[in-house]
Amino acid sequence: MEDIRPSPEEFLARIKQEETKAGRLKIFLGYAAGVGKTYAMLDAAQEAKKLGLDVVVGYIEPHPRPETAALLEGLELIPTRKINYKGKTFEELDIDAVLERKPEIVLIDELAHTNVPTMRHVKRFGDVEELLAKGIHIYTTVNIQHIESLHDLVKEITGVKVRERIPDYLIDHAAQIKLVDIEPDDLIQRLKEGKIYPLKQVEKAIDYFFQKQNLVALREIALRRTADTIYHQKTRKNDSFETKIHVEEHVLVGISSSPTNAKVIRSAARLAQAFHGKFTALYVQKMDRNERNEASSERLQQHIKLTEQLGGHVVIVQEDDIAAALANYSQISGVTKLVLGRTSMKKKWWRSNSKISDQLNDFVPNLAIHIVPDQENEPLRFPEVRTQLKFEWMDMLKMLTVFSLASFIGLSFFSIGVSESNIITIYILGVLVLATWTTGWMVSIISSLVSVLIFNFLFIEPRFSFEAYHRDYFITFLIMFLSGLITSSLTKKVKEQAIVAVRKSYRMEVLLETNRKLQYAKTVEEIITEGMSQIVKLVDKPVEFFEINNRLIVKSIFFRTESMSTIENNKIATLFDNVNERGVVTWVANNNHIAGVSTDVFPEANAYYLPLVSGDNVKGVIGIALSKESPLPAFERHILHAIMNDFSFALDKWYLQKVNEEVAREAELEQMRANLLRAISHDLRTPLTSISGNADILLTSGEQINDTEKLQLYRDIYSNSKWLVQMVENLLAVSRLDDGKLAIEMQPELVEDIMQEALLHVVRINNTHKISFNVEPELLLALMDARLIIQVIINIIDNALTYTPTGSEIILTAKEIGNSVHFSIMDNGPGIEESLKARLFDPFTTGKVQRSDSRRGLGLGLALCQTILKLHGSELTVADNEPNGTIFNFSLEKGVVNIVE
Amino acid sequence: MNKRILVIEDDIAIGHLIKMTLITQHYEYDIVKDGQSAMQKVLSMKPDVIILDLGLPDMDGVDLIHKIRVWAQIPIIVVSARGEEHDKISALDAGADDYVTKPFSIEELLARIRVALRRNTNEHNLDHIQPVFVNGNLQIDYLANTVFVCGEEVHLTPIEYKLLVVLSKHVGKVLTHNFLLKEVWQTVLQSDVPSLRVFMATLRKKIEENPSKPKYIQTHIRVGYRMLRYNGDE
Repeated sequence: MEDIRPSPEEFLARIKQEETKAGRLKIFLGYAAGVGKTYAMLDAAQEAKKLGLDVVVGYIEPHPRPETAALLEGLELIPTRKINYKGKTFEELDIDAVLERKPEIVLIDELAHTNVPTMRHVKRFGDVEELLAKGIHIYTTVNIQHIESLHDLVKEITGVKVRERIPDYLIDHAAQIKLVDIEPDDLIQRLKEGKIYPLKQVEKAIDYFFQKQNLVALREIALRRTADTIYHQKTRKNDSFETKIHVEEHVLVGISSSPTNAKVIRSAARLAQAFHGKFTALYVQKMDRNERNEASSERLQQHIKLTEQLGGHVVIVQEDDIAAALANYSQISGVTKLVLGRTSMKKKWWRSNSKISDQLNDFVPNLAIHIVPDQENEPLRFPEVRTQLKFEWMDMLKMLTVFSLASFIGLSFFSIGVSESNIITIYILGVLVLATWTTGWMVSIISSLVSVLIFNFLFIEPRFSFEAYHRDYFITFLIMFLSGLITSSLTKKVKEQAIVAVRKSYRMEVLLETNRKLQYAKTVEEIITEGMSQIVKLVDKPVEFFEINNRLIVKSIFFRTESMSTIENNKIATLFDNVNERGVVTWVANNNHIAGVSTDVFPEANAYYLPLVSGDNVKGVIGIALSKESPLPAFERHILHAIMNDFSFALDKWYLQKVNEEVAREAELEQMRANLLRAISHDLRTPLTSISGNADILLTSGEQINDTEKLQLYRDIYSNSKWLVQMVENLLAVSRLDDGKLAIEMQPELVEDIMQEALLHVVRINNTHKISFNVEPELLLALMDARLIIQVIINIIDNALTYTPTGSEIILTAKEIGNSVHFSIMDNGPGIEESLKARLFDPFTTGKVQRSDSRRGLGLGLALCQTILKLHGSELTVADNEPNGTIFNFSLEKGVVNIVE
Repeated sequence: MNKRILVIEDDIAIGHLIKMTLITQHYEYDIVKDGQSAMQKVLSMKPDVIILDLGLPDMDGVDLIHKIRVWAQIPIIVVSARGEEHDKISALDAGADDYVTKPFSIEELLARIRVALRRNTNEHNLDHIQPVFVNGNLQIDYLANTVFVCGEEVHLTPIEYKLLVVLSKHVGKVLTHNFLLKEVWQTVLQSDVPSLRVFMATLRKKIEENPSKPKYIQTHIRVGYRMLRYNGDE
């Protein structure tokens, strides 16, 4: 096998993975009570403390042993939470206190402990997982018998059933496992010395649990399991090299609601572990699942959970024939080992006669089948049969109708001479029709029988009696009965399959429709509304959407379901408003984890809560009003998760679009700015040439020039430098646009003041035009950056001055319209040509100039105005004035002022 | 008696320009180029007006104003670059009276100097505060709390009156927004400035004969307001 070294990138990714913010779990594992796990844990904690790490004690079981208690010295203890439940007071780990304290390492004893009801997590390992997710490292202790996959094994050896169990993935994914080992003899010695249990309990302990051979076996299991875990961790890291090359073992087990199934699942898990292969569980959902009873539903859910806890993957298919389903899946997915319980191998009396193993052999000859003996008593499969034996009076009536009709037709045919063999077919037809029309199995059986009897009665010699003369008729009757039976059962199957297909396709429809609707949704509100209505359609229950911002609930929207009355809907709406429910929602938003009914977190809540994630942030929480009695079936749950995925994608897309728009806008501004700078700098050279040139001449050859011409030179220097000042102002304005929003200071300014200031600057420059302004109403305020808007007005007026003949009139107006202030600057000059209007705001555009002292490049002024106004969320537009001239328009937001008296 | 003007300017060309300007108006002048020498000069020369460029090399112009104001009320005209309102506001708050913006025209500078000199004279001639303030057609009776324009009484709200009084007591001096807010409202909040603007607008409407060509109250965008001495000043 070639040794493929990982690339530097892969190494980096691996290091990054190890450095992720998740906390690391260190498990102190023992094979029995008293081996010294807690002692070892405290010892390690003291070491860590010496190294300067922040170690606190979250929860330690009260210990009789003085050596252990001594090790607690110097460690900070987080006070436990005292909980009252059913009259008794319990002490439990206070997870919120730990979260607030935020230590580096926290010690939590007894990982397998079950929390008191009303606590957030059902099991202590739920608390541990939450803390790990928040980046806190944890030391904990656990005994080997608490591990899920080993439960049966331990029970067989010691005879002790252990109820508190932890899922295997916790062990496998722990950062460190420290096996606390001790010779069984030494352990028994310790026990006898009373160091583990009080002396009076010692005798009993030795007789039961602490027998030497038990301890030896347990120790072996513990050692082997630890070795397995290390191998797992090694192979997980080496994923890229080895496993692709040799054939992977794939273990498949069938999940059912049978009580013996749990043991089979665990055996399959252990088998998968032993061969270091994949572990999958297949659940075959029968078509008439609605007729299963409650207890088996719950068992089924438990088995599914069990599989997931053991690190297996659950697949759900819908088929009537379990063997066929298993065979099909095995073939498709490359299953190498199939695990079945012995009871499931028993032949079913109403199914086809071949053994399941034979069937499987035909389909997948390479499949190794392991049969697990499950000896527990199993209640006879009555429930199924019972429902099939259901008998409805409606069906009787239908049967009566059909056979009356059939007989009528038969008799008519008979009278015109049709032979009996053809009349039989009418009755078979009748049986067929009945099978399609009715729902019970029993009716089909009875109808087959009845058809034979009626046929016999009416048509076979001797007619109108139940006797038959001909011996052959017996065969006819038998075959007729059988064909009736077969056709009716086939028809039933077809009918059921049709129903299932419809149901399946409905669910698929919902999924496709969701996908489509979410793709077309334009705004966030639309996305949420569409997504939520699809979910309501799927689960048929009221749902509530909580909008989350910064981990807090911002808004909540209730979505009713049409299948319940308004009163019921409202009742559930009020349930969602409850403070406790809100607390669960907040927790989900903070931890990005499912909670509520049928989960391990806050199982007492009134709904099932899922987080909606977009771009690593929890953007919302969806609450589905389920109840303990009617949890979400597995198939729906899968589709729900698919819908949630679509939901997240749609949101992601929308946010990305917004980001893109923002980026595009900034790029556009940047481009404008760059253009302007270039244009302005280019334009500075001309007046500078004039100024320096004129000064130069005056300096060098001043005496040779006469006074009139000298005066002209002076005037040119003056006017060009004045013009330069304006240019510099524009440059400054552009540089202020550098940071875009940051440099702009928006304030409510008095429009009148602004206009006057602008005019001050303009009037100083010229006297050739008549300029006036008008503000309506007088005390009008607009939100703006005063310096920039003054520059805008100056530039526009300058433009008007340049392109209109002397004596023209320029009028500025400002009017309040609704929530905005509309500015117009109009002149009665010759106006601007259409073609020029389009290019007016591009830099470098100049038209024909009316003034004698032509100003080049003033087209820049308008381009700058446009940029400034864009930053104010506005735009400069140009229109024609009646009867001639130009109007420049822009509007700003009205300014609002709180008058302080 | 010729007025003495102290120019504190480090740029040679601009210093020369100002010097030429002053000479044409027959003012006595002196120029120093940094803050240290400026302090000494103020003490020894006792000028009537100080022209100070804010961009001094060795000392912050505003600091210099503070120092001078400790013991003298000589009018100070500040020269600053256009667009830097913060500098102007700090200088005015520190005690400067007026400002010119670079690039400035000669007329501007001379006008400012005239205003400053008038203020100086008036203040020096007053032994005590007159009970009645007269400025062109504007008349304020401090004791009776009444205001007359062109002989007719004008009704002002209490705030408007207070504003007018503050302006009149510092006639010729540019008062910043902050200064006005503090004088009239006693608190200074940035959000109150627009409010101040509105009040000033209503006040102007009431006392100006032609509101679009204000004679008495001059607006300095983003800086503050000033009451002008009615003598044909711009």
